[in-house]
Amino acid sequence: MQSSNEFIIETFDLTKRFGDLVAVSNLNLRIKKGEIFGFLGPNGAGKTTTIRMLCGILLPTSGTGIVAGYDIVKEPEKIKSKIGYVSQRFSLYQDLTVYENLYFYAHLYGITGGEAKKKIEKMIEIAGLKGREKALTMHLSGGQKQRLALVSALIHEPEILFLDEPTVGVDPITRKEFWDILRGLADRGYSLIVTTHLLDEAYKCDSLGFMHRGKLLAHGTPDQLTENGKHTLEETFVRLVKGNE
Amino acid sequence: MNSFLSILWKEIIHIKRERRIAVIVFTFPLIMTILYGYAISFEPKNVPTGLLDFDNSTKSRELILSLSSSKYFIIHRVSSTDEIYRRIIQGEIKCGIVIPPDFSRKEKMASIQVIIDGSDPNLGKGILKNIQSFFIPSQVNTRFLFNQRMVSSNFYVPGIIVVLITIIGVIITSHSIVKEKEQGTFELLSTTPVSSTSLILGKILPYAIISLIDVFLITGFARLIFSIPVRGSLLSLFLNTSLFLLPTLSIGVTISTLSKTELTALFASFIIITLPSILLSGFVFPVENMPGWLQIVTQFLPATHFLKIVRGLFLKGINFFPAEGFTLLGLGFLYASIAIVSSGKRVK
Repeated sequence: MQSSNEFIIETFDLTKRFGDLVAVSNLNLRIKKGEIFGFLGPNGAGKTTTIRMLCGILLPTSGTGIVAGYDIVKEPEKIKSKIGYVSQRFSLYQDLTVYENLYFYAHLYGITGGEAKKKIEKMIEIAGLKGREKALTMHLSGGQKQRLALVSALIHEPEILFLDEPTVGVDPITRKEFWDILRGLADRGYSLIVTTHLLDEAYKCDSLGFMHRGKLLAHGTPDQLTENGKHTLEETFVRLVKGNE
Repeated sequence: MNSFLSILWKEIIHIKRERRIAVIVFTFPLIMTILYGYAISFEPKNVPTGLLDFDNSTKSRELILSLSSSKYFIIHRVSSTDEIYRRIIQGEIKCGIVIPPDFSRKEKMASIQVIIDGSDPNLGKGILKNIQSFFIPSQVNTRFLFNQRMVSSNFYVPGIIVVLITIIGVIITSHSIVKEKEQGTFELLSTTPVSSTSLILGKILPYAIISLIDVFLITGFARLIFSIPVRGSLLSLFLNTSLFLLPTLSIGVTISTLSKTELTALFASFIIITLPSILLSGFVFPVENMPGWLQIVTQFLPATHFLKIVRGLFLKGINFFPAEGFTLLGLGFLYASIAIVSSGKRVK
């Protein structure tokens, strides 16, 4: 890792406007290496916009940020090989097989030959898709698709993994299994940024950021935000939203 | 280079698995060639014709017989000039021929009256030409070069190749890109280090090859079904088609990077490229007959130049088209630059 800084992501007054709408307003975030950072907030709070800026696919209107040691305004292309992205919508190719999807993404990141083969096998194992390599992606179950999307984003061993509402429309058991995988990845040193609006998932994160109408209203560990369990997260957030309105 | 090859590889798998593409690529050209080849004809045949014979002589009957036995007219006898007008208005006949009482007596200056429905000027002129051919002894010694028998399919079918390749090229290229946007796969691609140039090249190359195959497929059909002469060399056809594909597919890419849905892309392709390529390229209406400003517009359509090439190559056996070739190269450079700039902004 390039930066000796303990933060893998740092933003400085990051702002994005779409016309009159301020989607993200003066955001100052610090996210530590190797932790699961939960990005919370209602729909339209600016979480996805923030993630898109951090991934280097959307330029901020003003302010900037450092992601994995690179400036998101000046060096967005360099960020791309350091990150993996799992979007809200399932976005692998439905008419390609499990193996072909992984093969495609491995080659896009310049991983070829025997190395690619080894990595694909490892990823299929992590995703629990052994024996399904030749299945067309469209024939997988929801949980299998989601795990395939996750390992596709991991094939190039990125430092940071962004997951935008990865558990939308997934049953509780599959969700729990998915979070177990995420925890395992954090233990192995990956930094994970997960957006969600489900509070039970928030308790599983190492630290949280709560966004509302483009502003970061709170930032801290679940314990800090609940004052060691005095309130629930829900109570805290209701209070914050009222204060912001 | 590696990411370009990955995109290319993936695109070939899509094509292999999506049957719709095979249908568009192989059956569409066959059906269109047959439909257009037979439908587009400006030779008026079997024209319902009212005939009024005031002379009623051997000579006039001979004339009527030769008119009705030709493939151009279907003769309906009428009893007055008024009836001719009435039946033209009702649409039962397209023209009327009145043979005067003194027709057989006058040797040279027999004045036949002809009444033609002029609401369609092209059809009207065609009918007049056919009628005149029965009366005026030809004093002008005419010889038509290149298309000696003046078969209109010889002129139109090569044009169909140009129009079809334009449609297929633009539609399948824009389809391949917009589909990824609609399915959300483009967003994921944009988070990877793949450059927009290798992305676009990898996506259009397979379709460029398909379009090239189609040119030869349609040429084959045209030869088989309509006996269209192909007097130039196939190598020249191949090279000139490649020159034509660069600007055409670039337009397809530009349209798809600017459209959010497949429907928008399809509609935009229709307005921006399909319709102008049919109406303004010289496919139906000669560019020379258009007003000056419109002629300038036609020069920006790749189809205008490719049409000249294809007609020259098929009918005249010309193999080298320096002027048209360079223009296509220039247009290719222009449209490819626009495509790369627009995709760089929108895709990323």
